[in-house]
Amino acid sequence: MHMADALVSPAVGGVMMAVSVGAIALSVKKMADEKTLDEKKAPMMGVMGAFVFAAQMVNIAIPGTGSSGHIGGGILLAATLGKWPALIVIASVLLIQCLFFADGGLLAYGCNVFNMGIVACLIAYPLIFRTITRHSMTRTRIILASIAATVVALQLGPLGVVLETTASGITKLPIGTFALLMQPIHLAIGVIEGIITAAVLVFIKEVRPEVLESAAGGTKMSKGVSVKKFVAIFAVFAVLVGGGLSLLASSHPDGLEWAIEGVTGSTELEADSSAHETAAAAVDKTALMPDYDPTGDGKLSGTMLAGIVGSAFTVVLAGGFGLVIYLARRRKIKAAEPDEALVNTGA
Amino acid sequence: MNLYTASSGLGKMEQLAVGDSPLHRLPPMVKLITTLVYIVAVISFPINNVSGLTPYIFYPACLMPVSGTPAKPFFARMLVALPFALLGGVSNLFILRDTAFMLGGLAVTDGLISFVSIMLKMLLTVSAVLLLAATTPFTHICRALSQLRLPGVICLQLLLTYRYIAVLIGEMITAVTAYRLRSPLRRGIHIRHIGSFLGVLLLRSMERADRVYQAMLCRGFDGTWDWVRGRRAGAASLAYAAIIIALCVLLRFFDLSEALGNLFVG
Repeated sequence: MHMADALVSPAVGGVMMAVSVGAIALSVKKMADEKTLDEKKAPMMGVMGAFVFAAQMVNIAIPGTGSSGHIGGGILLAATLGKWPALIVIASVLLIQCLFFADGGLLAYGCNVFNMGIVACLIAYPLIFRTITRHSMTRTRIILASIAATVVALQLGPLGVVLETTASGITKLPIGTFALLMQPIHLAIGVIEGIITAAVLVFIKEVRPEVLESAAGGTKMSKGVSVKKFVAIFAVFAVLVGGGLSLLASSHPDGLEWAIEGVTGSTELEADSSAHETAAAAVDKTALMPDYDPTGDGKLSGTMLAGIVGSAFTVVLAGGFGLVIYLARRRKIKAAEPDEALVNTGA
Repeated sequence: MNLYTASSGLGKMEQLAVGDSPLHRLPPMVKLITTLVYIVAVISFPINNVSGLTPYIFYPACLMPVSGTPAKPFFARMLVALPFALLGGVSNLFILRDTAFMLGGLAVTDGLISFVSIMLKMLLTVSAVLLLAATTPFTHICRALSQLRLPGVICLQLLLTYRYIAVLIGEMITAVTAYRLRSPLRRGIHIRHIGSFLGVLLLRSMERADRVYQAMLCRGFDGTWDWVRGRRAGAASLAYAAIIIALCVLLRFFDLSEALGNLFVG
C-alpha cells in the first residue's frame, strides 16, 4: 500500500504532506499536554517502531489457503502505546522504509503517513477499537474490536490511495476500476491482519493486562478536545482533495505548468475533464513547451522527431558521462590500492 | 522483503553512507534540499512529456559513480517501487489508445508515452532517494531535519527506531529460526501460534526499552538533545546546491532534449 513518487503530483503530495505533518505536530502537542511525553516514553516508542518494522516481515501461514499474511501494526501500536505515540511511531517507520528500501516515495511520504498511520491510529482506533472496548476489555471484545478496526483501517487506507492517485491524474485508471481492484483485496487482508492483531492483543491481555489499560487511559484523557481538531483537519483535507485538487488534476494534468500559465497568461487551456480530452489538451496546449504534434494528424512532425532524437541522445550522453566518471573513479581507487597494501605489509 | 534481506540491506546502506566522496562530504541539509527540489521537478512533468524528463537522467548518471554508489541496491529498490508504478503505467497503455505519432511503421500511442514517462519518473525519484540515503548517515539526515525545526521527540524516535531495527530483526530471526526448528514443515508461523509468538516478542521489546531507558539515565540522559556541530555549508556546497536547483528549474522549462534533437534534425 506504499505509494511511490512516480504516480503522485506535486500538488497532492504537498497537500498530504501538510496534513500529515500537521497530524504529527498535533500528536506531539497532545502528548506534551497529556504529560505522557516523559522521556521514558521515547525509548519505548523507538523500540516499538523497530519491533513493528521487524514484525511486518514475519511470514504468517494462513491455513487452507497456501498464502501468507503479515501484520501492519497500526492498531496494535495504538492499542499498546496510545493513539498519539502510535502515529509518531508509524510515521518514523515509514520514513525509514522510504529512505532505505524505496518502500514509498519521499514526496509521497505525506500520503503514506495518512493512509497507513492517521487512518489506523487516529480514525479506526479511537472510533472503532475504543468504542467497542471502552467499558470492558474482555477477550471477545478485544477480538471483535481488533478485527473491526483493522478492516476499517484497511478499507479507508486503500481508499486514500485510490483518491490520492486519481487526484494526481498521472494514471488514467478510472477511479471505479481502481477502487474495485483495491478494496476487495484489502478486505481479505484486513480480516487476516485483524485476526493476527487480535491474537497478539489477547495474549498481551492475559500476560500483561496493564499494558493495554495504560494505553487506553491515555486516550480517555484526551478525548474531549481531540475530536474537534480532528474533524477540522479532515474537513480541510476533504475539501482540498475532494473539491479543488481533483478538478485541478483532471483538467490540468500539470498543476505547476497550469499555475505558470495562469501567471503569464500565455495560453488558453480548455477545461475538459474526460481522460482523453485531458491528454489531448495537454499535448497541444502547452504553449511554453510545445511537446508533440499539435495537429494530431498522426504524422511525425519535426518537433516530435527532434524530441525523440534529442531524448535518445541525452540518455546516451548521460550514460556516457556516468561511465567516464565511474571508470575514472575506479582507476583512482585501483591506483590507491597498492599503496595501502604496502602500508599494511610494512606495518 | 524478508527479515534477512532487510537486515543485509540496512547494513549495506549504512556501510555506503559512511564512505567518502565529494557527495558524502556535502552537508546533509544541502543534500536533503536538493533531493526534494529534484523530486518535485521530476514529478511535476505532465504525463505526455518524455523528452523534457530525459536530461534529468544526468543527476543519477553522474552522482552515482561520483559517490561510488553501486547499481545493485538501486535495482533492488526499483523492484520494490515497481508494482505500484506498473499498475498506473500499464493501465494508461490500455486507456490512452490514441496515436500520438508514427515512428517508422509503429504507432506510438499516448498511453505508451505516459507509460515511458511514469517508468522514467520512478527510475529518477527512486535513484534520487537512494543517492541521499547512500551518501548520508541517518543521524546526519536527522540532524538536518532537526535544523528544519523537527521536534526533538521525533528526532529521538527516528534515531532510536533506526538503531533498534537491527537488534529487533536479529531477535525476530532467532525466534523464527527456533520456531522452524520445532515445526520444520511449515512455511511461516501458523496463525494459531502468532499471538504468543509476536506477543512475547512485543513484551520483550517493551522490557528492553525499559532497560535502554535505565541505561540512558545512567549516562545522563535528560530528554534533551545536543547535536555535535556538523560541517558548515561552505562555498563549494552552496555552489553545488545552487547549480542543482538552477538546473532542475531550468530544465523544467527548457527542453534540452528537443533542442539537441533540433541540432541533428535541423
